[in-house]
Amino acid sequence: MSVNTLDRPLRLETARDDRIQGWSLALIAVFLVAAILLPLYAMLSKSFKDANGNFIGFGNYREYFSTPELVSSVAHTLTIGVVTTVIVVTLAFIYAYAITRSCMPFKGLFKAIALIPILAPSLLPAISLVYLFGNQGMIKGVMGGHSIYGPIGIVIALAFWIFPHTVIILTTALSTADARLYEAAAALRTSKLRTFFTVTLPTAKYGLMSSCFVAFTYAITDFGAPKVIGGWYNVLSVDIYKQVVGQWNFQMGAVVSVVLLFPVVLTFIGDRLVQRRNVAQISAGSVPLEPKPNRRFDLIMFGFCLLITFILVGILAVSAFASFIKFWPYNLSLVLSNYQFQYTDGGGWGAYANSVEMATLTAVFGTLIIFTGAYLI
Amino acid sequence: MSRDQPNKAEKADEPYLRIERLTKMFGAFTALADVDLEVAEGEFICFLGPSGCGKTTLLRCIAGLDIQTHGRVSQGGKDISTLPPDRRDFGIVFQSYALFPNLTVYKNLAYGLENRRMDRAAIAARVAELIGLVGLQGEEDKYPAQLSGGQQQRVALARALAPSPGLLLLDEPLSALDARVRVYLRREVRMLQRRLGVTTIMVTHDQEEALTMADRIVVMDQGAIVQIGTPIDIYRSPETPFVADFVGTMNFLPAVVLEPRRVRLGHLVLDCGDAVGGMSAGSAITLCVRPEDLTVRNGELDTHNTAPARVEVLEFLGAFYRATLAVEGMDEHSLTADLSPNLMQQLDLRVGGKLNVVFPEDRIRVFGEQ
Repeated sequence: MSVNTLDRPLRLETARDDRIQGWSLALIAVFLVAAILLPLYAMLSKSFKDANGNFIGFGNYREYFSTPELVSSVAHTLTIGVVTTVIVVTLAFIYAYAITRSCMPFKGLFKAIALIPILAPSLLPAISLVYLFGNQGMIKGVMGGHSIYGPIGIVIALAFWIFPHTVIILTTALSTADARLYEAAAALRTSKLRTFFTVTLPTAKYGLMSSCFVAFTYAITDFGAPKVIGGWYNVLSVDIYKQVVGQWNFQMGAVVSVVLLFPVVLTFIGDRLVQRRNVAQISAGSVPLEPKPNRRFDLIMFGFCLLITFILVGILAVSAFASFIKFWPYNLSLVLSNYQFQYTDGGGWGAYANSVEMATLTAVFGTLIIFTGAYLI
Repeated sequence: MSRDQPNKAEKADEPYLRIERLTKMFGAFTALADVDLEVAEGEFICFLGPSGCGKTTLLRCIAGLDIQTHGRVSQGGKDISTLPPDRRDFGIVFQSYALFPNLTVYKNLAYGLENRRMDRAAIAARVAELIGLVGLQGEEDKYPAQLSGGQQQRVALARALAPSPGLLLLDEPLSALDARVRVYLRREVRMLQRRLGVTTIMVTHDQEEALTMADRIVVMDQGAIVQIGTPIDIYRSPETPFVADFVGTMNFLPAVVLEPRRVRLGHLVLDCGDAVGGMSAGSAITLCVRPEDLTVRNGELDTHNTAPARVEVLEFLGAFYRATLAVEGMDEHSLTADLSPNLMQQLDLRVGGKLNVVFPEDRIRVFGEQ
């Protein structure tokens, strides 16, 4: 209890609820430190030590950057990141534009289908691509002599896998638009193209940047796709795996991880900066945009979405189909024997059960922690 | 833009804007039913009505932002019924300003001019002129979010006027502003319109705005035009109870016609001039009189159109008091009268006080039962 001396600035006394909130927040902060910062610290510190745990400064980094095949994967990873981002964001933008700004039929269905890849691991499209375009692929001829094993395969697989994430962000960004701005532009006799660049793009700008950051981060950190279909094209994430699992070289694995962490942190900071500037694009009194039917435009958009969903479903279907084939490509009879996990090595049904158990626990506790944290903040 | 200018020869007899049998359906809902309207060049017209009366829909049909189900819109003697907005000749201002948030004030004003392929120097000169016109000197490089609501609305107005359109459409342009700014901008917009002589249509639900700004008011209700007239016409001679009720405050009292110039209100007999018109004796009517048209006095009873009354409620409204009066012989119907503070002092009026209320013969209006 403080005495109100009339000239001292006052502070509200803390209520009981506030104290409970304070303690709960502290608890969550401790959890976050333990779950995120400690492993990060462990990784960082390991990268400065030798195999026996002695501190050797930047020795590991020097060794890393003097190994040409390791350094080449930095360039490879960035290439994959940039190319995948450009392709996937372009396609997802058109797709999201079709869903939000056209009057084509089956918009809800298209939106649902676009989200399917989110349920699959990144390995899946890579496996499908092997079945389709691999050395024994069904339609290998399409590749025109190029090998699917390498950057082409990685980019296609990643594009499939990242597509839903970017579509979600971009549909949200494009669905909030002020119809009045478009009407003002029309009244000023603005061409469709100029309206797109001066009204549509600026409104979707932050969503667009955010989707680029997400796509880039996913593309450079993913491990599944390059592992399966990367061939000799080495990237950072696979390098970590090779160093740690293949050669038991935890120090070098840590170094590669730090190198990989660098662009990820940069994109994260970039995203934060962009979000901070994302002030209300929609002012009070704005009117939501209702797309008007336009036969030609709607048809083009419908065709585009049809093509994309065909590819998405096709890639998924190939994996599903392949799982029933006895021995690709020599015995194409359909069997269920591949689902007899008891005969596979590495645990069989036990591994399946473990996966489900892990997923359930993560879902329950993850949601609980995130919900509590978000509620308290 | 000479092609947009009306032909001088036909200007005299031809209205600048003509709307014929315009109907707009939204599914089964009729937003506008067979609307006819003519607007002369240089006129300032207000569409006035409650929300949902179709006034904004009518404006949007004139702009081509919504296309009417049937009916014709012609501007400057040319049928524009099926033209898209970008091939019509108008500027528009919305309630939400709708400025391009990513462009500076200068860029917003230059936007429409760039679409018309004007050269850079001409655009700069025109923008400078517009900036001066709406008094925004020094704000050219700011973004809309850095301006106040009133300033943003001036930019929107200047942007609409930039390409010198033949028709200026204002969709509740002042509704989002504070009372003080609103009153100030009212005068400003009106002066600007007079100076430029641009034919203007403004949609509003604010009767005060319509009364102070318009040359003619178009009162609308349920998708139809109820009355067209000058502000004084609309206020003094409302043609329907709806108009009488919507514009200004009005006492509505049930009465019966006695003879051509006389009506019975409760036990009172009132002279009402020509208001009764051709209605036959015995027909039930609604008698209307505005609170400010009632006069009160105390002392001896002047028998003509006067009744004793008691003050029930007094409401102080700043410039005047609004009194609720219980009139003897008028049963349960109370009467609202506006009294000036000076008069209140002279008569020493307070709640419960007695006075005589006079119904001025020439201010009484009568509507037949519908």
